[in-house]
Amino acid sequence: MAGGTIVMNLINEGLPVPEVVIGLKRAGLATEESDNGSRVIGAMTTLSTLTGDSDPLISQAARACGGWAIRNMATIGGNLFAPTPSGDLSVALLALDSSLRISSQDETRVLSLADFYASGRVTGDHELVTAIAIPDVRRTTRFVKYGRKAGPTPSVVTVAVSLAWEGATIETARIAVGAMAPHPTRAERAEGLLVGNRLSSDLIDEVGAVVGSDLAGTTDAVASAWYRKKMAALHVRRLLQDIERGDGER
Amino acid sequence: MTKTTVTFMLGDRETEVLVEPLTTLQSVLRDHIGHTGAKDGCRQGGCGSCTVLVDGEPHVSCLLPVEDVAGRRVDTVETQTPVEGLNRIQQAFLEHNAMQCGYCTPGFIMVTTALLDRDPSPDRDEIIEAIGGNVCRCTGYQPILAAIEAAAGAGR
Repeated sequence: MAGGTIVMNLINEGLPVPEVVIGLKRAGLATEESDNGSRVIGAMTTLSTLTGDSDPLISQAARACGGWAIRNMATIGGNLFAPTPSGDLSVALLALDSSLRISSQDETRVLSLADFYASGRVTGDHELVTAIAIPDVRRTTRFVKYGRKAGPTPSVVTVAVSLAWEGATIETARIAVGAMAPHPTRAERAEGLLVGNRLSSDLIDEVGAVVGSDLAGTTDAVASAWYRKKMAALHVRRLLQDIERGDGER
Repeated sequence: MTKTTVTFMLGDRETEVLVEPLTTLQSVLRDHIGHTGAKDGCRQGGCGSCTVLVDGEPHVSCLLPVEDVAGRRVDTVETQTPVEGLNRIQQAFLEHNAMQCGYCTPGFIMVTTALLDRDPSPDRDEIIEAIGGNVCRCTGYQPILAAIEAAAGAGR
């Protein structure tokens, strides 16, 4: 158990206390280091620590999770396992092409966050996610968490956009979305439309439409899939429009 | 399940409890120790009525296994109330009618305590962000904001 904000919720709802519970707060997993052009952030780093991060995508996404008390307890590692529509920080991590360091007694393996989600967030019984690695790449990023109210709230849709440029042309595009699938997911066909092109209002409209049609959305007490699909399209468009209006970001 | 002993500081007082594993700090405070200032609201960490401070930082006690406060300092509205009268924050809440039913109030007071310890002069946006995890169903929040601003002012 990391911060406990997910597990203790389940225990309060009646999940039987497991035979063995390992608390990770004193495991020394809250440090950060640099490795070969990547930031490697310990899995027990709290969301509170990350609200002050120098990367605006990370600080905004961390700030979007819960309230002050929750952020003091919740961790970047735990957030990877948050059930949809939660996991706003993980949406940002997905847009940043993050990968996980998964450790066991004998070795540490690396798994891209995208593959981790695609595999159903499965790790071996003998394994632990110990760190999250984020490549240090120059990008233009935007983030939005849209909820039913201002302040802490479960997400209707969370969007993180990350673009890398070749001059005025987009070289790499990442559109990561939360609450649109059982886990944070990328709108890959929409990303493909951006690559090799400059931003224009026609292109942005097309990208939004593809996001809305490709992503299935989820239905829960917060919102319907129908509404989420519309909001995902809208907010992707708005973030791209904001980038298009911006100056000197490249 | 075998019970476990956990020792922590409750305010200035060393406190030891014998509990089932993963007993929440909320339950320890309310049921074992009799400090009912931290309330039992949602048990999901969303309402903030159970907010206490651990080493000066706000935590939702409903999601905090008491094992995780071993060797640390817990502060509650009880540890923060002077022997006589009220502290500066409590006084400001009283003067600004920042309570109606009072159920959310200890949580707000604990967050305010941490906020003003970190930043004695927060602006309104900073206050709003700090209290974002605390829900009030009665006041509409304006009297609470006024009370927090007044408490900040009174501290200068």
